[in-house]
Amino acid sequence: MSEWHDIAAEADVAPGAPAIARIEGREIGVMRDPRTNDLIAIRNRCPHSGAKLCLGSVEQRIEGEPGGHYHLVDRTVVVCPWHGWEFDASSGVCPEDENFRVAVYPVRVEHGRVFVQA
Amino acid sequence: MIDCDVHVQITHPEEILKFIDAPEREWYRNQAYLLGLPGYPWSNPSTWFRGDLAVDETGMPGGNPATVAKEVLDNQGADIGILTADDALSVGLMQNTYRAAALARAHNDWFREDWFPVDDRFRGSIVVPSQDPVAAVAEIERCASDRRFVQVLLAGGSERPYGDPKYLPILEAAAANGLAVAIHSGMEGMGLAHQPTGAGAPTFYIEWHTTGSACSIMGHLFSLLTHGTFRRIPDLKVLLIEGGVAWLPGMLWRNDTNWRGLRDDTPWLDEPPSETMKRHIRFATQPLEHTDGNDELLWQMLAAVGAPDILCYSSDYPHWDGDEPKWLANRLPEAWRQGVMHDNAVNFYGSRLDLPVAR
Ligand code: FES
Repeated sequence: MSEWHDIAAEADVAPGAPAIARIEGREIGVMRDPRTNDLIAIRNRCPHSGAKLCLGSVEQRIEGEPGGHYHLVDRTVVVCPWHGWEFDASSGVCPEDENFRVAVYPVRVEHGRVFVQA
Repeated sequence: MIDCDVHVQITHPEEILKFIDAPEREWYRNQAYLLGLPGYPWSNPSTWFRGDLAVDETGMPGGNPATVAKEVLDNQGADIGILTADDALSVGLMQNTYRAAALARAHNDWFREDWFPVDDRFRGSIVVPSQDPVAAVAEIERCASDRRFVQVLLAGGSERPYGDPKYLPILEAAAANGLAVAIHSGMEGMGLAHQPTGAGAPTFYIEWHTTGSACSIMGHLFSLLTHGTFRRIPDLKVLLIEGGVAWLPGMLWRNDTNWRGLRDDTPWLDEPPSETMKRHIRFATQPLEHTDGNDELLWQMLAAVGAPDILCYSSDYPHWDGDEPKWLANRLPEAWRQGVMHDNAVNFYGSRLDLPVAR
């Protein structure tokens, strides 16, 4: 049964400053989305070759059309610090290859503390 | 584990300029941070660097010898880290030959004075003004007595493929001094170098990274083989870095087929070129291609052309597309690990690594 775990003080989680906790052998990180200010709880291990994902960045996804057209979409991705693969912040799925996915967890804030269900 | 490709960054240009004679220094300062080296037409859309490394006050990793020793040697567990240049890989492509020679000298002095003494597990590469082979040979001779230099480094981008007789004196000087020659992909389309592909200049970084860096390595590989370079210089050893390896079986088969039918033009080739390759040429592993679940196929193909003996591990630290050593070792067939991660490099570099074969 997954339980709620108290991970960090909310004020301590900022863009570029994740909180990292070890829960039953898994390292889980909480990252702050600089755009929405949302918190993202994600396994701190890239399914590609094992980088610490929480040392990467949280970014708004860019999409586009041929002809050199770029636009930002309403989708947040966690970008791996090693090879730059992206993982959807809500589903953990790599949009470029759904065989690669990382666990993401429910997260909530109570009385200034961040709780993760894992 | 031996890491054959550790990119040292020039984060503080004055560290190098102190090795350049005073009257010349100002010229390099006036060229801004690339010091007169040709710039990159295709820039990485995000970052050149892994995001989890220590950076100095310039915001860049890889420029401090003690930090590199910690990150590459201690943390990644390398017994030896072979330092390759980064931007200075393109010194042989500068338009100004004289400035190139002076900058190459300074870069080599910087390795010797500021890097090697920090950790005895560091080895280094000699950068040379390859656009002027006479000056390049003089630089090799000047540096070779320091046995911590293990190779002469040439860029993938070039004026001609390196089998061209113009470069013979450089290759001869390396071999005569017990140095390998490393050809590192990159710098195609910069300075004196030709465009990265036969089709012309790519538009995007991803195109360059996919085709350009492989094409130049293919060009040098088959040029060296076809000119009979290894018959002329039997002691020559060449490491090809960062051009990929999955294409190798197909291109070797293609070339061996051509060799059978086209030998009149190059009658000095007295064995299938792929056989010559196995004795003289090694490939650094990074970036080992992703196979989408077909690794077994890749190992079979590579085994057909001499793997695992032709492969030497490289991390490409601190770049964004590096291969972490534990991940790579686990990916390899178990029987290949010791060779690829360690022994093949020991055999290739010989006594300049100063390590027992089994460690
Ligand atoms: S380890 Fe995350 S993208 Fe490669």
